Amino acid sequence: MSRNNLTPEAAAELAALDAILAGGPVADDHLELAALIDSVRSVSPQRSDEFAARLDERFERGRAARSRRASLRAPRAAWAGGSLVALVVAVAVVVGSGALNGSKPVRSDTLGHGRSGGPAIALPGPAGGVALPRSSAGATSSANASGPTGATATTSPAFTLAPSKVVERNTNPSHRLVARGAALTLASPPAQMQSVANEVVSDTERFDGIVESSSVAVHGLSSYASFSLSVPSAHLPSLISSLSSLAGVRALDQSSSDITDSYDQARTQLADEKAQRAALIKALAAAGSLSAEQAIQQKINRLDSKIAAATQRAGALLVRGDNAKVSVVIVASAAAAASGSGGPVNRALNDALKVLDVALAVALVALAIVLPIALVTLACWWAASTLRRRSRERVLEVAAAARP
Amino acid sequence: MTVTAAALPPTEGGVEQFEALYRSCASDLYSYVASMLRDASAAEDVTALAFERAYRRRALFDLRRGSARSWLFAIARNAALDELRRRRRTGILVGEIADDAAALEDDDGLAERRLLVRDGLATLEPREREVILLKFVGRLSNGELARVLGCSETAAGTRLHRAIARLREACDVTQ
Repeated sequence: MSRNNLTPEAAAELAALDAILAGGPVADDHLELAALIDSVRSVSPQRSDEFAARLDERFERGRAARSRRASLRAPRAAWAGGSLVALVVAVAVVVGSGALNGSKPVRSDTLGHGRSGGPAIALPGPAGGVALPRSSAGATSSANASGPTGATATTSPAFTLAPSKVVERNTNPSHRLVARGAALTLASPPAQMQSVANEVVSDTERFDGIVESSSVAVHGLSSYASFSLSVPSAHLPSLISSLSSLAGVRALDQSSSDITDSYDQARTQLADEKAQRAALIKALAAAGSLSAEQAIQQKINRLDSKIAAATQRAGALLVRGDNAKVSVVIVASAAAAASGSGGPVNRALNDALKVLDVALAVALVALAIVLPIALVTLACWWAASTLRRRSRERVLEVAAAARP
Repeated sequence: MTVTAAALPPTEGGVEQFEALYRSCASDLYSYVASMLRDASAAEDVTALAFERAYRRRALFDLRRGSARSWLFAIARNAALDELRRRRRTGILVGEIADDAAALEDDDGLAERRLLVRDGLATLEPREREVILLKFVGRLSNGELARVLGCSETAAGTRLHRAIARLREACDVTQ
């Protein structure tokens, strides 16, 4: 027989024991067992009346105190719950808006102003760009001349630099003069062509750029818009990122070319010609005859033309390095319309999905942090609990061993 | 088998249920703890502590794992064993509880039998005495006994049957 197996007699006696304890009738066979139970219960220590009264009083006192605490706990729990919800909402808003803004500057209409679901594109900063004074001031007003529907407006380049401003730039060799450019093709639903075009102009101005020329034609699926933009090189990545979020991006080409050498050559030539001109002025003053004076004057006039051309060339190079050219083409796309990239509800839905996406990412990160800690805590708790249980059981064994 | 008068879950907000549990168990619980500790003063403290712990943890009570009575006895058992451990560490000596129950009986035969049972209980191993007390005083079912003792129901039944046999044997020997 197994150590824990009960014989039928033993099982029957245990069943009778349960029946007796439950207050059931006692069979003659188990009268002795009933008497044993009664004796054990009788010889067990009974609590005194004094202790019973003290325990009752303690129970009542504790219950009153707990009900007082419970009445205080309810508003505290409400406050704690409200604070937790507010914290979660605040974190979600901060994280969500951060994800939606990307590298764009903060603006008030991030979530609801003409944004479609197009992927935002982040460009690297203008490494090696030259820190130069911008010369685009005063030219923006003429660029914002696009007609509302089917109209075409063209503006002329607004870069006219005074020769005196052209020739100076940072002479630090590490500063390179780099001409940058980008060509972006967007696909927009025809119905939103005009609003997207307006956003292009608005974004360009926001990043201190100018619209050199623009053309917007709205004719259903053959709608088309093109822009030639100039923006400070430092703002090119932000502008591209912002423009690429206006509609679906069909293509994006970027280019850069180092024009430092060309600029330095133009400056050197300009300096040489200025030196020659100064020498000719001296020679003119020392000329002994009229014919000699006329010959020197002709040379000075030719040099002046060359100096003007060299100044113009150096200035143009400087402007190329200072300002990046961006060509934006917007084409009408039925697919973009069908995909619902437009419309306030769809845009709001996209924004909501992005927020949920970010919230999920945050939750995953939190889980990755919390889960190992929870597992370690659980293991420690289990180990401590097991040790405590064994230690308790050992007390009985020790007590048995200590018996005389 | 239904052996508990107050098998109501003392869940959050169930103060009335807990009070019913207290009323129905307080006396038996004290008897069980006092028999374990053999010290009236410590038994009072441990009994009160068991009720406090039970009240604090009442939200954790799960009716599927046993009745409220067995849950309360398990808490009391742990508290009593902790008290025994503490005494072992500090070397506190306690005297037996004065037992005048038998002396108050009018029936000499009954009084004598109870004295025999008391002496017989004293000769049992602590584990045997404990299982007798949990069953006879605590009125736990074998399943609840198993959960309190941390063993299978069959093992609990076997231990109980052996303990009863040992008690009978001890009573006969002392007789």
